[in-house]
Amino acid sequence: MRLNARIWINRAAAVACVLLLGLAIASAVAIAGDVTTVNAARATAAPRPATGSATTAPAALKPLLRANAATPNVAVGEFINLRLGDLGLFVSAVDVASVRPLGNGLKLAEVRVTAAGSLSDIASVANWVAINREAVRLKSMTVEQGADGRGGCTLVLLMVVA
Amino acid sequence: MPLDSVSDLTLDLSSPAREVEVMTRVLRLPTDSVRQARAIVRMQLDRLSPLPVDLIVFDLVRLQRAGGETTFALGILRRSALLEPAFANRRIVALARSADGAEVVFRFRNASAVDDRETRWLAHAPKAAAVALGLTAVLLAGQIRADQWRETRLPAIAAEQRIAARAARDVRDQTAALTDWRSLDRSDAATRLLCIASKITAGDRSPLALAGAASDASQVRLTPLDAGGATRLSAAGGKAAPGGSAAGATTPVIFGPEVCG
Repeated sequence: MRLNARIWINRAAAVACVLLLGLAIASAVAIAGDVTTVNAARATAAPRPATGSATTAPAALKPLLRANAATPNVAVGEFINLRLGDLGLFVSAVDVASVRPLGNGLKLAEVRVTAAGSLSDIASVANWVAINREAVRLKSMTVEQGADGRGGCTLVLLMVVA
Repeated sequence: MPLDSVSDLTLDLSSPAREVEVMTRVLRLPTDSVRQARAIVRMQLDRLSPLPVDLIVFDLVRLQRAGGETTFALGILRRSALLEPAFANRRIVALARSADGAEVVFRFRNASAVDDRETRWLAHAPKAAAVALGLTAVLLAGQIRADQWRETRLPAIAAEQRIAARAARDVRDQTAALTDWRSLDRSDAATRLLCIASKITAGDRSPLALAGAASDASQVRLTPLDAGGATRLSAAGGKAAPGGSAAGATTPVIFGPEVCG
């Protein structure tokens, strides 16, 4: 009877051994799966761009205004409205098409301005742009003169913003 | 457990097992399958055996097939007979008996027997279980650690990917922005417009009436209101736009890159 009990205990131990080995194999497979998953994710990660590939902004750039990084469009819109208003244009819309980084903390804003004004007002704007060439450039301009001497104009400006 | 040696199969006829009483019967069953025949016999065992079913073990051996019936030899053995010391290490007890004029070997399964090999192997089972327990504990701990590592690494890798993508996009945008800015280094629409204006007013400072104007970095396009204006623009180097008459009052005049280049 004692021998039989011993046998049954050993048999139970053998069964437990098999179950534990099964569990160990499952754990090993799970570990391998985790490692494989992480390695695969790391392999598919986009290669980091070389730090030297970014060109630096020209030193001559002088920003016309400092804009909040979160809302540069608002600051640019207010500035354009104020400045072109001083030059005689009646600004009806300012659309900031893009704000792109220039390096050294500077950004380049492409601004499309729709305004009403005469040809002499446009000439004033051209003068202002020419004086501030390090900060603003006129990409294109169109103006259609009305019968009263005033007309609608569209200006596309590139502005350096800090 | 499968039979592992011939000694398990054959029975020494000189041993006391020869005296073990095996009751034999010959059965004709409408099946050739031993498995089906066993199932039939198991259901009918209380009628076929003089002893209660739970006190016996049985074996069925196929003898011959004739027509649609198969002849089987049924051997019935007292379960208590398997407890004899002679069978203590035999998982299968084979007993030869005569049935229907033929020598038949019945193989009774002895569930309580422990053979020597099993005993030898089982002696290592507790140690093996302890080793397996340790191994499993280590691997389970490793799995938990690997899971935690994966849970932290995957978001980190995703964040690195986002940062890298953003950096690549910034470089692309920066290059494009600088290209746009530098394309206006020599002249932009404003400088070109001012230059053309200075050329137009160089000889004649009187005001020039225009219906419209357009300018970009490469050319200026002016639309005079009258023929005099067109002439004045042509004198300053402008060329009538294709498709229009040079003398036409509202024909645009274009100042290309060669003017104020």
